[in-house]
Amino acid sequence: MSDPSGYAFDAQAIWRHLPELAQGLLHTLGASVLGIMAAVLIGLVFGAARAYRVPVANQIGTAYVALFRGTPILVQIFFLYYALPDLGIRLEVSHVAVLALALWGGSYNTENFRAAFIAVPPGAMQAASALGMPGHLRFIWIALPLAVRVALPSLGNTSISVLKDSAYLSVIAYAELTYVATNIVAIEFRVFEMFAVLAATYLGMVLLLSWGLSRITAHLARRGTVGDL
Amino acid sequence: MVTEFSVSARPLVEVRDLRKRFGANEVLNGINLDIHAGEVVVIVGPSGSGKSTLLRCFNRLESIDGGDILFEGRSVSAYREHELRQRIGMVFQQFNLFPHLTALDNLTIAPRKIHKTARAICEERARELLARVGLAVKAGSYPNQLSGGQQQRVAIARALMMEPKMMLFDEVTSALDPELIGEVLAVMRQLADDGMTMVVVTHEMQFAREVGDRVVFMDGGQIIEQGAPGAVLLNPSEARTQQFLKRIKG
Repeated sequence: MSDPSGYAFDAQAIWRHLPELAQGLLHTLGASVLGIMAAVLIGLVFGAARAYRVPVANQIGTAYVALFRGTPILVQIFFLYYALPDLGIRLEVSHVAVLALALWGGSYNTENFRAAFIAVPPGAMQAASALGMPGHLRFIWIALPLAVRVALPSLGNTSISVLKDSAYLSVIAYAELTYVATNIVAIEFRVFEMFAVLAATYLGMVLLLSWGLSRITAHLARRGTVGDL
Repeated sequence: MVTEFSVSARPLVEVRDLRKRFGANEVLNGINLDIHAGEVVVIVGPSGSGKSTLLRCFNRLESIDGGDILFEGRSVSAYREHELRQRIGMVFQQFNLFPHLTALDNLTIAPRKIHKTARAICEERARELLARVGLAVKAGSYPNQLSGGQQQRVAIARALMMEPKMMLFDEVTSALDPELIGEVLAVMRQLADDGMTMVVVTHEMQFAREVGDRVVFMDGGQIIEQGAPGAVLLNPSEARTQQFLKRIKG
């Protein structure tokens, strides 16, 4: 099919570059999955510290959120990659990739978890106290499972953002999907083909992630939820 | 109901000149009260009179500003907090079940995690207690699948799991639809008949009369009058008690 503008969509170009694109996809998935998991963990720790006003950790959490939610992720990636070595911390690009996603997502998840811990019904916590459950058992067996239920939708949103924003990692030449595709564009000018592949692949991953999250939410909703109390 | 008095028996609970403030507001103003093992003490009084606060001082859900409460002869402040609370069960107005756990797990979670008692042993006892409150068939139900009355009966069974020496009931029927109150009171009545020491804050005057060994009338953070239910509720000697009873009869 020829085009008056002279541009012909060449599906073969995608096919030819499939091995590199697949390799890029693996890197995207690797950094995103690790980044999302670490971001949830960071959010859990600082979110709880902020909700329960744990001395020191609360203040560190507050400053951390202000810094990482208040600056563009692109700036954070550049800083971690180019500025840290000047401070004597030299990290591999793949480590910077995971770290950047984890810190950025972690700042949002801190707020997600903070709100969720605050939303845990005080009556349930008081009942646990009255049964003689010490603080650490109350946290693990009552507050945490209830907070996770509350936080799940917002954790899902942040995780989707982390996944998509892994595309920014291309600026430090981390060989993830966007980096690979834009390189192909630079060499062969297959702009439309490559960006079509990018859009379709990210969309597919996000839909898959959303579907997984909705399954978990539905599973938990079949049991008691906080709103039912 | 048979109430046995033994001369030598020390009260299970001795409240001595108890004082509690919320800011400038004196909520408890020198409370003295003895509760004997096996006794059912019903506390009545207008809202804001300090009934619930008194109850919550027993298991240290509220801190004490002055005076003391002795439980089994020992100051409640000398107990480790969770050890005291394992000996004193409490049931709340809003049930406060754990919404993410089945009725059975609501009962077993505390003993399983605190004492690391095996799940099978806990569940056997939990099923017995659920049967005792008439909810054997609801063991697998989540709180949102239970009526208010059923939730409150689960909450009572949950408190009994810890084998407390005494049970505190804080307006446990006030959040229930009228037709569900009876089933909860029936469970409490059964518990009283089995000899449990109970302190009950309630507006259910019929329950107070029929199940209470003693009625305590509180107002303004003080005990105004106490005695046998018949005497306090039907023939009160204090003007404030008379006024209160007239008001709630409408």
